Amino acid sequence: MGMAGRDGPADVPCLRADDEEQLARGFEDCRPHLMKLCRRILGQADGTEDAVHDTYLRAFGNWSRFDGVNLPGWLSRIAQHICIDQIRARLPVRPLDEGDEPVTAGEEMRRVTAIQIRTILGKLPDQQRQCLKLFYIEGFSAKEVAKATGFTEKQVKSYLQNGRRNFILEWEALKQKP
Amino acid sequence: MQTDPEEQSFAASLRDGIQELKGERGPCPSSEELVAFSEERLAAPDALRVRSHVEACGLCDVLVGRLAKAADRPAPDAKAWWRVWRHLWNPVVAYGLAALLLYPAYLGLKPRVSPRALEESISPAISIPSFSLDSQRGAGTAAQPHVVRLKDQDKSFILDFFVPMSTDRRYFAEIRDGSGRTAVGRREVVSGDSPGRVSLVCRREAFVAGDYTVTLTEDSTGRRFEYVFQIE
Repeated sequence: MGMAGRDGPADVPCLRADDEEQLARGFEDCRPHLMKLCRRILGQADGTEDAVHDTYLRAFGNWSRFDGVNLPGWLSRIAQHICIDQIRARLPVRPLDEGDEPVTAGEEMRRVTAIQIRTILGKLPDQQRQCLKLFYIEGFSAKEVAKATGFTEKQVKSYLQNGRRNFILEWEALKQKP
Repeated sequence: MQTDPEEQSFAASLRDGIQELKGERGPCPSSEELVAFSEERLAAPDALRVRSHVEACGLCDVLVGRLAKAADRPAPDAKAWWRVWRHLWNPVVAYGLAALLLYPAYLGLKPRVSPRALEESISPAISIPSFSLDSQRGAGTAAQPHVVRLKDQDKSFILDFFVPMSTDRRYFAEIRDGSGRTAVGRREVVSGDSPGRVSLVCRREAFVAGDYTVTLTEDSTGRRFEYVFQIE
């Protein structure tokens, strides 16, 4: 998903020796920062080394696209793209209809529309909102939500429970408004 | 998926809205677009489109949250300062630091020893005899050796002489004995307090009794100045 972009496959297969040296030196200077950045985005040490290594390879392949101004910034952006791709790759992608069950009629909550869902989710704390979205919109299991967010499964269950309660409260408050 | 009836009811009540959300949110933006969005680099229409998607997509919401969290951490410097500040609350560190800061003030208040008394008190320990070679200066002329008399306790001595030095040139000195053996190897010399005044500090152990010649060479021109002295 979303792999192609300005930092996609290389157009230029090799670098001039001085460019290669500049990149290697700049990369080594940035390595500690890149390690920290990738670890923070990935939420775990696992895969950090790979992401940083891939950053170098992608930078090497796309050197001709570097504007020569801010190498640490450019490398950081590449690292961010790689981390996003890595997170997306390790999580399940479900088709739209999977898991849908017949709707039970007569429930008052059924009338929650897309726009109301957006509004209410926007009012919830980040953790509760993220867990609710992954669980109800993406159809992830609690374990998959934990993997995606970096929370423990126990935390996810707690956020889901509190999130549901707050969602209902917000929805009821929304209904009171004319 | 959900076993709890309350949970089932909740999921069912959202189902229509969620289907609607999924239909309108479109495909996930590329990683590049997501990074640009989190850094607020996108043009308004694109930012609006990505925001609308992120609101309706659990995974992109998590990713944007992580990017923001990674960027918002306090800078290492700030954390380092906080660590130092926290240590200052330790009484041992605080009193130690206060004592350290007060010591120079104490030195300033203490009665000063007169410069002469100070010189007298330390001169035996740091005394290094100095010998002027100025009277023997000459380029290629027959020079009379200056006598350097050292005491037993002298570990070092200073050879002091004047050379007409140019500020844009470099000068190197070397000392050889009468047979041409190097006592002090070639080293660069610079002027001291006044222009052209050179002081060479020599180690006693490099010399035995006999005649020596200091040769000073101007690097670019090769011009040489010689100073002859004799160790007794």
